[in-house]
Amino acid sequence: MNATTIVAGEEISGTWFRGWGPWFAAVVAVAFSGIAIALGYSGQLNLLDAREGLAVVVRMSIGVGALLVVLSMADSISGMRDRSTLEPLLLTPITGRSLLGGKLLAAGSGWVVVFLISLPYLYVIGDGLGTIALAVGLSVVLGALLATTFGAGAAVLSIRSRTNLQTLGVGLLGLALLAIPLLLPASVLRNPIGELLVRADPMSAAQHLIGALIVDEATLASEVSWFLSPVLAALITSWLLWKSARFIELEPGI
Amino acid sequence: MQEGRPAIVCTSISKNYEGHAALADVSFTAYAGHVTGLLGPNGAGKTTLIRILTTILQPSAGTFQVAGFEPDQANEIKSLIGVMPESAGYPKRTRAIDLLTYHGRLYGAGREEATFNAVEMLAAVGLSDRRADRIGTFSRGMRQRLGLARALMNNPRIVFLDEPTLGLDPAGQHSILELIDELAGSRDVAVLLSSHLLAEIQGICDRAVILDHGRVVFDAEPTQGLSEIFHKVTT
Ligand SMILES: Nc1ncnc2c1ncn2[C@@H]1O[C@H](COP(=O)(O)OP(=O)(O)OP(=O)(O)O)[C@@H](O)[C@H]1O
Ligand SMILES: [Mg+2]
Repeated sequence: MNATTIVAGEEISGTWFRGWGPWFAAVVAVAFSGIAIALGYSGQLNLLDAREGLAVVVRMSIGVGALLVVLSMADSISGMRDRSTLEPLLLTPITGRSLLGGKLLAAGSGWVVVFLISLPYLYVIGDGLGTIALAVGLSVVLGALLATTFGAGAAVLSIRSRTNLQTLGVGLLGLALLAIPLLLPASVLRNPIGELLVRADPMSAAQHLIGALIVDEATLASEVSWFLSPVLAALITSWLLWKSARFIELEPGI
Repeated sequence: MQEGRPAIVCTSISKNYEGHAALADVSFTAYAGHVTGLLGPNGAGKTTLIRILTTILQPSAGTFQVAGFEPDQANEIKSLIGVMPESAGYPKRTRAIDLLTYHGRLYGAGREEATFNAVEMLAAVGLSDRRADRIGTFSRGMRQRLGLARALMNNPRIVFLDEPTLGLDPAGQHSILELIDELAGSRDVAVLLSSHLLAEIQGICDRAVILDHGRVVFDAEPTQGLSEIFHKVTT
């Protein structure tokens, strides 16, 4: 077994057997059930139709999955600095790249679990719509891209921060900034700068894709250019992580 | 005392922190089969020197050899050394045996071999009966012993111990020092032991280096005037 899988195995058992993993999975399942029940008792109370319900589940699975990965990766190095557990690990012959690769794999297991929990809900809510395969496909592709982007980004911050508080502070600020385009009204797309903004932000690009493909039934061919920023962001953050992980300092910037 | 193979050769190492020198032109040699004491008051530079020699901190100037390897061969060095850092933390929910097994596997041991070594090391530091307990339930002294066991998991040729007896009761101190003595004597390991306690160094070391404000002010056998210089430095 190589070092990356050894680290991943240790981290996964830390999260799922000794840590908060099972509790988190239970909370996510309850949240999905709440949505499914709300959609099931349609009548006048429910404003969402089934397609929108499906889009909500996909967005939730991607968003919650990415958030899990972000939280794990933000803790990866600066959390160990805070708990003084980094030094013993740096003293072993394992490379920084194997260490972070293993941690990223383990963090990815959080996203995978959220995705698996979302599957039965996708099937129940999307029953008869003929878009279930599309919803599953989008969950996998966009989920993996966003989890990679935000996980690797958080890890880079974690490597360079002196404390975990610093990582979380800078990281949350970054997430808040990226969330702003999500809040813009749809009319913003009619102006070229507005459209560029929504396209450039991988979060809002993903949100647009889900709405266009699942709710508005646009064709994949007409929307494929919206995948550009999620793909580029995943590549760039992974490359940054690859570079940053080469030498992990006990205390950065000293 | 006859000198064995050089295990650590430290040549003119300096380390500056924002203009302030933590180490200035430090040179000394430590030998296989010897316990070399690194003595000095708080802030003398002991921890900084150990971190540089164990390749996790870059010196500002100077060079060194550990087990014959240069600073840029960090992975070769790391696989041959065992280190007990000054203030290591432990994952509270992990069992002692699992921590050591994981650590052993990071050096390339298979799961079974690493588990076997972990059991053996826990016995060597007197923690056999607590091996399946979570580390969060350990007392400070027990964590200290666990740290020593971890430092020995890869069967190192050179061992760096940064104030290993800190916080131990006299019996605990005695048993750790005995273990260190045995490592050097019968396993031909080089031990670099840092301490700010003169008696500890006098009792166990073949050679002692005193650091004061980042400079070497003594480098000889402890019988050759160690206590005079140490008292001068600490008063
Ligand atoms: N990260 C750091 N940033 C700035 N200065 C530092 C840093 N680490 C150590 N120093 C300084 O370097 C000097 C040597 O510190 P070091 O920790 O090596 O001493 P020490 O001999 O191990 O002391 P102690 O007996 O208290 O453990 C001190 O003056 C300390 O203030
Ligand atoms: Mg120290």
